[in-house]
Amino acid sequence: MSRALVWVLALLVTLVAWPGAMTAQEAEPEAATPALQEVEAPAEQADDRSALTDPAEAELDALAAEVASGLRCPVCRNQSIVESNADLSREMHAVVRDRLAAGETPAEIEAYFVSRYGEWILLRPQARGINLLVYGLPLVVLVLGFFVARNRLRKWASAGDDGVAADRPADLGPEDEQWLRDALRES
Amino acid sequence: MLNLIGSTSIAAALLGALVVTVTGIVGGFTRKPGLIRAARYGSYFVFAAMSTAFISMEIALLSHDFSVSYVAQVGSRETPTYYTAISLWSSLEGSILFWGWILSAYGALVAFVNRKSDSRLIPFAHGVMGFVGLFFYGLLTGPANPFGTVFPVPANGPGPNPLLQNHPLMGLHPPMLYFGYVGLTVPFAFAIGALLSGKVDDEWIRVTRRWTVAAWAFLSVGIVGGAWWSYEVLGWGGYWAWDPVENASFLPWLTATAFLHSVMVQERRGMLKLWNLSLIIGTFLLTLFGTFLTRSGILDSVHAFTEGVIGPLFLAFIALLMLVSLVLIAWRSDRLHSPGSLDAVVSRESMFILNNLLFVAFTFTVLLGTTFPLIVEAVNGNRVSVGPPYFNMVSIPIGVLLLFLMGVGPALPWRRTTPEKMKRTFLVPAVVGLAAGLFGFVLGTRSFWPLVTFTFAGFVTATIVEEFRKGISARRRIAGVSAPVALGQILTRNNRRYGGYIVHAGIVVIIVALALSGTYRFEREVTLRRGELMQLGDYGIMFDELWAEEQEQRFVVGSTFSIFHKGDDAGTMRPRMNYYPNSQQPIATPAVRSTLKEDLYLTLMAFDEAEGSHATVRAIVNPAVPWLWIGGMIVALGAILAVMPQRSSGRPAVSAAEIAEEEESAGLVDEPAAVTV
Repeated sequence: MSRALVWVLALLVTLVAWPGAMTAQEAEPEAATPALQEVEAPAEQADDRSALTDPAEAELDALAAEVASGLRCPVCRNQSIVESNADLSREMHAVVRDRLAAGETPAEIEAYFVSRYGEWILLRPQARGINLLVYGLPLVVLVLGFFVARNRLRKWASAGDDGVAADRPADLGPEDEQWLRDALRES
Repeated sequence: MLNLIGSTSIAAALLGALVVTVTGIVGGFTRKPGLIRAARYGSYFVFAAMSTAFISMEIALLSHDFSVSYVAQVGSRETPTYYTAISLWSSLEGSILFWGWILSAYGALVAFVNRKSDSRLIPFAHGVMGFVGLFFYGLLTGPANPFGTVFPVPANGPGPNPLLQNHPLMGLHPPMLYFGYVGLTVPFAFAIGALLSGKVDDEWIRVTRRWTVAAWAFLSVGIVGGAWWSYEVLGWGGYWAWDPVENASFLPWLTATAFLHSVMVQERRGMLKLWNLSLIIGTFLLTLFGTFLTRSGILDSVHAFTEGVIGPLFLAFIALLMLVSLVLIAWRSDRLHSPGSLDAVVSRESMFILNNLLFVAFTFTVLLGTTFPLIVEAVNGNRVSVGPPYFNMVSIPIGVLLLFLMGVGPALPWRRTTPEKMKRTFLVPAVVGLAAGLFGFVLGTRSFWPLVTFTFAGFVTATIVEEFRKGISARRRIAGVSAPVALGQILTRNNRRYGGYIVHAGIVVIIVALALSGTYRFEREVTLRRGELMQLGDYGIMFDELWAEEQEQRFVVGSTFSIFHKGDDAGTMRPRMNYYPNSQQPIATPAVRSTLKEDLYLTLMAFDEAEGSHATVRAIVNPAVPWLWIGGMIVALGAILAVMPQRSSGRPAVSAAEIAEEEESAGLVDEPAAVTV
């Protein structure tokens, strides 16, 4: 049974690591923001084209795309604003970039869009209220299912120890088996 | 004329399906040969009738007969012939017609293949397929009638949905999915047949095994093909958007995959009878649910065709089937109780059960996420979105666990094992896995999930290679043949098992590609003037010019970019925008420069309409994407191998040869030499 215990532990570790990874993902962009504040100046001058080859600018664009990929295009079907070529999406994408350049965090930018469009604009529901269900229920199903499966397996295993299990599938009798050995030898 | 032929054929198919349903089920209970024969010939008749309807519609489409309502809806004289032919599935009525035709073809094929079988299941299976047919042919006679008469006859039509006439693959991806979806009707019909007949042993599973694997393979190819299409054609830069309709194809795939694994436990050990029946019934209901999502327009989706009466009808049919299944299961519950027994908790059996747990939890999660906006709106009227950020977050842990099981399960023997054997089996794969993880770390991966993925992928790959090695060496010892011949022999003699391993290998490739492209993809959107260069990773992207082209069915605005890779000239790329008369938004066609390492992906987002002096381009570096398609092909190859007829001369299909060789290679039959690597 000790191996079953290992399984439980392995699953639990995963489950613990799961929410951990969630928050880690959220934290990353925020940590990157202070560095970006230092490069905000060039972005404001429309005619300075050096931004095109500046790695810091590329980084800002990449972060903008990441934030924008979490925002829903209000006029499309199930597209984020980074994917859509609708005018509104493209404007919103520009707003995201400008606000990042001005030093706002991704969380602040999301809050801004939520205040304008409602929670619907976020492609990942905020983890509060009824939305907790969409995060919690899968875990509940997984954990409950695991314990049900574990109990079943243990029950079956103790049944098997009593020698209840047939040694072979029913359709493989002694003649079959002899035939099988012969056939294998022949080939 | 075609209206009349089409409508009459569909009415005939409906009538035929009614006959098949009644004769099949009554014949199943009474065992009257006349009734059983009637059900068989009825299935042929339905197929003939639906084929007539199908051909009539193709003729109507290709001859631009706009008096036929469906042609008036999706046809146009400007659409190229190829896209006209495949516009059968570009809208609601046509796709239901196509669905119904495939269903009738499966019905006839089941009848033909089993024409000499005296199994008690067969007439019931005909009856159930006829019953499912009643619903679809019924839709075609009323709410989704493609053969309505249009008067006065229009001179031209709007043409199919632009998204669906943008790429030749549209001729392949939807049919694959439909063959997969509809193919799952066959195991469902036999499962219900097993319940009706009371013959709930594993016969229905053995009879339908190859049907299920084939349907699963179609579904897999359809899904990967859809990913490819959305990547190469839709131009939004990704291959999987967790769009409700993508999820609708993924859900039955997940449960069908669970089913393909759990039936092995029943075949071996006679356990999980009720579970397997429920899984396949659930799978079939999920295919209907997917169609409901697609066709009802209840959820926003690029695929949703229409709103109307179809949605409620689908829902009612799903509810009816669910009810009937539950009643049948309750009725047969005394026979479904299978006393489970295991020799040990650590065995292949229990790995299959864990596998099923994860697949079902995965299915539940995707289903919950897909329908969650509806649930929230029903509860408190709020609107929320559940999109890719959510689904990626929840599916990564489950996917990684499944990956791990894929290495453990097949390498564990049935029944029981010993610690020494475990060590012998898993030592090398574990080392390979850790090496793979370390390799990822050395190359600069610092994120948790990708590192775990690489480790497990290395582990699984090593176990697969080891299984092949053991199989080959056992074969060489028994038959005294050379290694390549031995490989050929294990592939043909034990195609189910080794086909399965090849499928696993393909899945590993896909998962690693997903991890790489998900983690290391980066992008940038920039407005460039002519001659300006932007930098993205190793790539320099220079805007050269805009151009335009008038084509028969559309107007194309294109752009040309010069590409430099690490400073070297790497040719040009030409992303475009297509303007269709029946679409307000232009449809983008991306330009993709693929290498085995990574793709450079350009989409034209906007351009200067007056002078063509600047263009806005979205550029993405997307690592490892080609490996998704390669992995998909490996999966398809493995599945094809697994459905090949077994080459074991008429003996009990699954058990004999397979068990012997498995035990040989697992070292259960006295293996002379210890495993050396």
